Amino acid sequence: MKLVSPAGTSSSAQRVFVARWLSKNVYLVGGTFLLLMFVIAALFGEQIAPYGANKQNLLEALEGPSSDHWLGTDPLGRDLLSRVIVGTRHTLSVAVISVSLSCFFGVLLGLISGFVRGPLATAIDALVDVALTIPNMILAISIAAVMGAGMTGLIMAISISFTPPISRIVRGRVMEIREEDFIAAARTIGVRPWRILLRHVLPNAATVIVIEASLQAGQAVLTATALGFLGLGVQPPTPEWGTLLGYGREYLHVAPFMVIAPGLAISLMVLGFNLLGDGLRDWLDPRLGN
Amino acid sequence: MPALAGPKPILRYLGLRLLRAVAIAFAVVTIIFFLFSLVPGDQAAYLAGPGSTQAEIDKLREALGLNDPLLVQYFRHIFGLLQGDFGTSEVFKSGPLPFILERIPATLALTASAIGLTIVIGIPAGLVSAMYHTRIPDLAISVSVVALLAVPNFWLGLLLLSLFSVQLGWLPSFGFSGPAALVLPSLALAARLIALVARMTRGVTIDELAKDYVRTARSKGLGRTAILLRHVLRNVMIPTLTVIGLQTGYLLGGSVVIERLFAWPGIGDLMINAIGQRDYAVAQAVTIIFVIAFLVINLIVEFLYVLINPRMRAV
Repeated sequence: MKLVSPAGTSSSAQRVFVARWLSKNVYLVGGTFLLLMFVIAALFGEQIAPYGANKQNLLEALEGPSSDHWLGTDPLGRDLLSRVIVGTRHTLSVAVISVSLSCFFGVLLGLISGFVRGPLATAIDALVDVALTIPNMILAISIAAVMGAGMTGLIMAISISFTPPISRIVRGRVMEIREEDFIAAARTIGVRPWRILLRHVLPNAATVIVIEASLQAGQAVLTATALGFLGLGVQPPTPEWGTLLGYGREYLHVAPFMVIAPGLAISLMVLGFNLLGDGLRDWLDPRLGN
Repeated sequence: MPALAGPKPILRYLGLRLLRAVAIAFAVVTIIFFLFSLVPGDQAAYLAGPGSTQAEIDKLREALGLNDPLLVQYFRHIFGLLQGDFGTSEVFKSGPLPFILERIPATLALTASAIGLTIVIGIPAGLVSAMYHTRIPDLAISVSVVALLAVPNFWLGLLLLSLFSVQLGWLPSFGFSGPAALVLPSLALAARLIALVARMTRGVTIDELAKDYVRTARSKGLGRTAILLRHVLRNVMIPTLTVIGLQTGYLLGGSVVIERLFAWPGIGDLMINAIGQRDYAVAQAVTIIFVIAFLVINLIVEFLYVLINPRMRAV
């Protein structure tokens, strides 16, 4: 232990406080900034991209990065930068739609199984227990295999396999809230259970749900692109990031640059969601931080 | 409950966990059966191949038992599984079990060496990070952790492949030809776990270093490294085990993608091949094997908990 003067303590404490405050908000600001860029790319992909995503030019096939094609071209002479930009919409919408669905059903199941006591809660609990035993990716692959390759199969695969974890987290939070005095008070004055659930329990669980949704979206991007890589996502010529990486793998010997951009795009989008989730956690619920 | 806990309560606890695992395995097999029964299209017509007559298709459908009610098919499936019958693979023209068993060692080698790498890299990284708390090594490791958690394992694998096999030619790029071939795929698979374990170890170590017993050890004249290795490391093992236990699902699911990337002859690669050939009996069998592996690993983790943590023995 170092001895410091009171003045020194307060100024260093202040510095630590400001530094910590800044570093926490760096996550939130950084994540939001990254995701905003992707939202813009998703909305205006065709306008931003220097070339058409599917415009072929066999005279310029497999060219390395140059001033004309910043990230090079693929074997059909398509501009890789344009394909990655236009592909943003697909991955972002799969992630957002799947996580919205998994959150809706996960929150519903979690609210019921955490709040109600009885056979219904036990049944939901058992079902979630069982579902959690199937590794996420394996479940997603099986669902995508059964549904067939495509956007619908992909969204179903991710939303179904992501529902059990969020329902488990919501259930835990609801069981905590259920024991709070204000819930007992509401019960005592005769507020109906479903009203307690929606007006008192849900708003108090919202923080956990929002944080979890953001972190899940990052995982959804990883799962969606992995399925694309395995050939279980949308089919070519749609420029999906995972599919682009699968395609690039075949040309690793002649055109290693083909795998740089799609992978970087996936990583940055996941990073954006992860930073947003961690930033939200620090901002909304300081107790949960590490 | 008697205050003095002998071996009996532990055995009862472990026995109950085992029973629970069996019940869950049964339920999962049921879910997987009904999931795969949703496969669209006429399976018999597909398997009979193009140019086959309606009579041939009908005969095949009858032979496969696809005309029976779903529930009958379900019970046949369950009784088959109990006898080790995983259905008939249309590609291999036999039960898929021998083909799966033949590929299990490759998957085991991949996942086991990923766990090994996680322990060998993740724990020291976390300890170093905690020792240099808020200084440059800590910063570098913490940034790497955030980055590794965002990078898809198959992209990391592609980059490693591109650098170490294609450009430098140091390591083989595909197949299971020996220990050298294990390096890249297991590193790609382990990256996420390494990051999680490093982060967890860092957090736990920072907490532990602030505790009284560390101060006592310091006052006895023990060096920082000795305290870390002799006292703190022990307390770090439990959270590490927890991370590995919680991430078993990732490990198994990730192995499918990594096996595909490195043409690794494991069961994940088999599963994706089977899906590509619409050989659903094999895909379903591999899914069941994965779930059983998941349950077994989780049981092992729970048993290890009891072994490592004396407090658990009193349950």
